[in-house]
Amino acid sequence: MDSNERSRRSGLIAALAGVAVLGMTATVTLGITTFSAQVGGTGTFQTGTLLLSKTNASGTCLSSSNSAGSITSNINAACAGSDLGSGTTNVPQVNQTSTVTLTNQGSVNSASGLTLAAGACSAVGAPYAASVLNPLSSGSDTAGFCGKVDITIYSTTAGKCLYPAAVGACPAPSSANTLVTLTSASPFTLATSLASGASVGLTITTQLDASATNADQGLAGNTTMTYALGQ
Amino acid sequence: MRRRRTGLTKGKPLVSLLFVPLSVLGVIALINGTIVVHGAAFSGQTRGTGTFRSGTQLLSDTIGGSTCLSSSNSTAGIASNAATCPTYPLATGVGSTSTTTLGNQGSIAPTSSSVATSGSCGVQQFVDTSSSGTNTGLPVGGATYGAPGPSAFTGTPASVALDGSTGWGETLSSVAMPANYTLMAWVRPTAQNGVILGATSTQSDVAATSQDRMIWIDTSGRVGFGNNSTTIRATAGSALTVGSWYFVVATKSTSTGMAIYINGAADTSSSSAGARATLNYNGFWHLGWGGAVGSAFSNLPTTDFMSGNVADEAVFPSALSAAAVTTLYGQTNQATFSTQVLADAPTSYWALQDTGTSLYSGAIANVAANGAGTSFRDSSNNPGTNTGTGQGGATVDPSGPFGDTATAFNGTSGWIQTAVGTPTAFYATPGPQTFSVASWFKTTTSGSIIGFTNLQSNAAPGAWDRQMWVDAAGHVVFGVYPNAVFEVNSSATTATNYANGNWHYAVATVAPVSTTVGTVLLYVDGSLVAGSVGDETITGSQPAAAYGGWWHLGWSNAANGWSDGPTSGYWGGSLGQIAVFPSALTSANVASLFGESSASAYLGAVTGGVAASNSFWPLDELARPASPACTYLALTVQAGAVCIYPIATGACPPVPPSNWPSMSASISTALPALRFTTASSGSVPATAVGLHVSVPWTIADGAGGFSSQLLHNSGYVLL
Repeated sequence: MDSNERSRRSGLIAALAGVAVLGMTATVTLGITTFSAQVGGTGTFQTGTLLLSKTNASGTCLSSSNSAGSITSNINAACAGSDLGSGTTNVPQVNQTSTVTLTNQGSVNSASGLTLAAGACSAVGAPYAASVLNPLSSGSDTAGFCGKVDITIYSTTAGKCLYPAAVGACPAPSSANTLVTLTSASPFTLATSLASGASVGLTITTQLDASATNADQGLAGNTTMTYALGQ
Repeated sequence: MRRRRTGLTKGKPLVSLLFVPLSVLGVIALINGTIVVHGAAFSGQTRGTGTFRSGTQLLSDTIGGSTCLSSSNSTAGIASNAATCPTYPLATGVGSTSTTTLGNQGSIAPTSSSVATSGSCGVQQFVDTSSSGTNTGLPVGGATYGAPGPSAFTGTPASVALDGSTGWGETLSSVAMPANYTLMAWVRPTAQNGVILGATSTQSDVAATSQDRMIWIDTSGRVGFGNNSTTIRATAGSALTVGSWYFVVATKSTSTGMAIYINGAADTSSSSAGARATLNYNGFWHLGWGGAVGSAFSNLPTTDFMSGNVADEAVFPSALSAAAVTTLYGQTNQATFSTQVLADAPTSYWALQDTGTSLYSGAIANVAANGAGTSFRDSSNNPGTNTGTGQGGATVDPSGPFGDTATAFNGTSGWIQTAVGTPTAFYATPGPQTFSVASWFKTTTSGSIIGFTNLQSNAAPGAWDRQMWVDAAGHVVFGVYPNAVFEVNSSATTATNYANGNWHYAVATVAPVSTTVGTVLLYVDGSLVAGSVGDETITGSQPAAAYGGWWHLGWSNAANGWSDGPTSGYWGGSLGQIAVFPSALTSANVASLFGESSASAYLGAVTGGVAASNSFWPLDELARPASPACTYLALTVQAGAVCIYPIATGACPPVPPSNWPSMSASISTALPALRFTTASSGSVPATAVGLHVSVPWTIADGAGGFSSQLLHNSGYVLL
C-alpha cells in the first residue's frame, strides 16, 4: 500500500463513519421533538397525438373518434359519403366536382406527410329503383365502366394537379386518366409534411367518358380512398 | 475526469434519457424497462369510398294500352337501349287518330326528344322466294302476318290469317298462264268456303274477263279445282274440317289432265279432254282469292275470299308427280319444306313467312302515284292561300337552316310557282310598294332567290322587279324599278362572298318616304349591308314598278336588264323559310328574325311574333315517296297542343293536308302525348284500295351521351 492507497483507505473509513452516523440519525429516536423535511413532485411523461380528419360533402370523419381512450389503431375505415361526389345521374361528358379537405387534428406535426391510396375499382348495377315501369335495368358494361370514369385530382393547397401530375391546373378529364389508371398510379403524396392544425384541400373532378355507351347507364364504380398521415 | 457520454444505446439506464432531446426520439416504446427508438410509429388514417354513379336514360311509350320499353325491365342489363316494339303509332283504318303516350322511365330527365319516320314509306308484301323472285305479293285488306303455321311442322312456322271478307294477296306480275302447272298451299280453314289460290286476267279482286286455274273450298269442305271449263272435286271423305291444317295440291297436265292431292295423297283426277285443255290468257295470281263466284265451274264457294290461314302458296310450271307431292308433304319443318319446294323449281313461291317489316316501295301495276305535284304550303298569316307548286328540279335538302329540311334547286329548271297574284289585293296593280322579303339561302353560285313579275309562269314577263339574287361575286343584291333600275348591293359595306356553301339570311325592305324618294335597305345575316333612309330616287310614282303580278321562288327575271344581275335566272342551291311581309321590317325586326333558332320559333315570329307575313313558304316539304301507294296517304302529327307535322303554332288541321307520311321533328322534353292522324290524299285508285301502307317510326330521347329509342315497324294503314 502506498501513500495514495492509505489516503483512499482513510477517506473510505471516514465516509463509512459518516454513513454510520447518518444511519443512526435516521433510525434512532431520541425521545425529543422530531424535525423533518420533504419535497413532493410528479414524474410525468406525455405523448402527443396524431389525428387526421377528412371532410367531404357528407361531413367530417376522424381517424379516431373524439372521446377519451378511443385511440387504438387510429384508423377509421368507415367514413361516410363518396369522395368522388354524390351525383346519381351522371351522363357522358358532363363534369362532376367534389371537394375533400384533410386536416391534421393532432398535437404533433407530421414530418412524413399525407398520402392518398386509391383501391381497385369495381362496378355494380345501380338501377333507378323509383322507375314505375323499369326499376331493374342497369347497364351491362360492368366490366368496362371503371375504365370510362375519367378523373382528375387537384390540390388547392399546393396549387397543382396531383393526378395526372401537372404543374398548375388539371387538364380536362379524359380517357387517359380513369378510375382504373388511378389505382395503378397511387399512392399520391398530398403533402410532404403537415403541421398540427394544417389542412390539404382537394378538388376531384370526375366525368363519364365520351366513349361511354348506353350500356354504361345505371352503374356505380366503387373504389376505396385511403388517406394516411404519418408522424 | 472524462465527460459522460449521452448517446443512446440499448441497456442504458432510464435516467440517461434525461440527457436526450425528445425531439430526436422519433417513436418510443417501452420494452423491458428500457427505451427503444424504432422510428416514427404514430399515424392517422381515414378510409372511405369513391363512388361514381351514372344515371339511367329509359323511354317508354304506350299505344292502345300496350307499353314498350327501350330496355326491358330486367337485370340482364341495358345494352343498346333501343327496342323494336310490336305496336304501331298509326291506326290501321285510314282517317283515324291514334295517341301515343310517352314516359321517362329513367333517372335522367331527357335533354332532347324526337319523333320521326325512320325509313321509306312502302307497302307490306308477301315475298316471292322462288329463284326468280319477281312476282311480289301484296297483302290487301284483312290479311295478317305471323299467325301460326302448319301443325305438321316442328318449330314455329308462320302463316297469314285471312278474314274471309276483305283479305287476300295481290301479285304484281302479269304472266302468261301456263298450260302445265301445279298449285300448292297449306291451308287451315276457319270456314268451309272460299278460294285458296286462283288466276284471273285482272290484277285486282274484281270480275275478270278470264279466270281459271283455281282451287277452292266449297261449302261442304271439299276441295274444288277449276281449269279452263272443267271442274274436279275432292272426295267427301277428304273434306277439310274447320281448324285443321291440310296440304292441298292441284296439278294439270296437257297429257295427263287434272288431279287433286290432299295431305300428300292422290284424291281425285281426270284425264278427260277438258281436263287436258288450256285456257290461254295473261293474268295475275291471287292468294286467298279467286274469281270463282259466278264462274262456270261447279260446286263453288259462296265467297271468293278465303277464311282461315294460308302458308306456302306456290305455282309450279309443270304438273308435279305424285311422288313429288308425297315428298313435299313428308317434310317436317318449314326450312326443309321450303328447300324441297325450291328443289321443285316453282315459278313463284310465297312462303308467307313474312313479318310485315320488309316493305315494297317499287312500282305497282295499275297504281300510279298521286298526280298532284309537290305542294309548298303557305304558312303565313293568310295560311294556305298562296301555295307554291314545284316546277322542275326542286328536291329536298335534308340540312335546312334550322336543322330541318329545305328545298334544293338545280339551277337550270327548278323553281316554285305561287298560286295567288293579281288581282288579289297586295298583288294587284301597283303591286307591293311597302313590303319586305326575307329568305334563308345556301349556294356556291350566282342565281335568283325570289322575284315578282307580271306573269304567274316563268315565261318572259312584261314587267319584273322586286328581285333578290346573288351576283357573280357572291354579293347579295336586291333590285326595284322606280321607273329606273335601282339596286342595293351587299358589296356597299362588305366584300363577303356569300356564295360559300353556308346558310345565310337576306332581308330587303322597301318603303316610300315621299313621292320622290324611298328607302330600300338590304340586310344579310341580321346586319344592314346596303341602303339608307331616303336613298332611292323615285322617278315614277312608287318605290317599285307599278304592275300586278306573282312571286316566283328560286327564279326571277333578274338576269335580264339589271346592272349587276345574276348569271342565271334560276337558283342553284337551297332556299328555306321565304317570307313576304306587307310592311317594311325594322332593323330590330330583322335582328329578331335572324336570331330565331328553330323552325317553329321562326314560324311564330313571321306570323305575328315579330311581324305578320302575307306569304310564308317554309319550303321544308319532303320528297314524294317512291312507293306510289304512299302518295295517297296524308298525315299530321301533334305533340301535346302543337302540330309538329306540318309545323304550326297550334293544333294540327282537323284533316291532314296533302303531306307525305315522312317527317322528323323534335318534341318537348316534357314528352307530350303524340297524336297521329291519317287521311286519304287525293282519289285513291281502286287497285290501291286495301293495300297496307307502312312506314317505320322512331320515337327517341336522350341526355348527354345516353339515348333511348323505340322503333315501330310492324303496323300499317289500310288505304
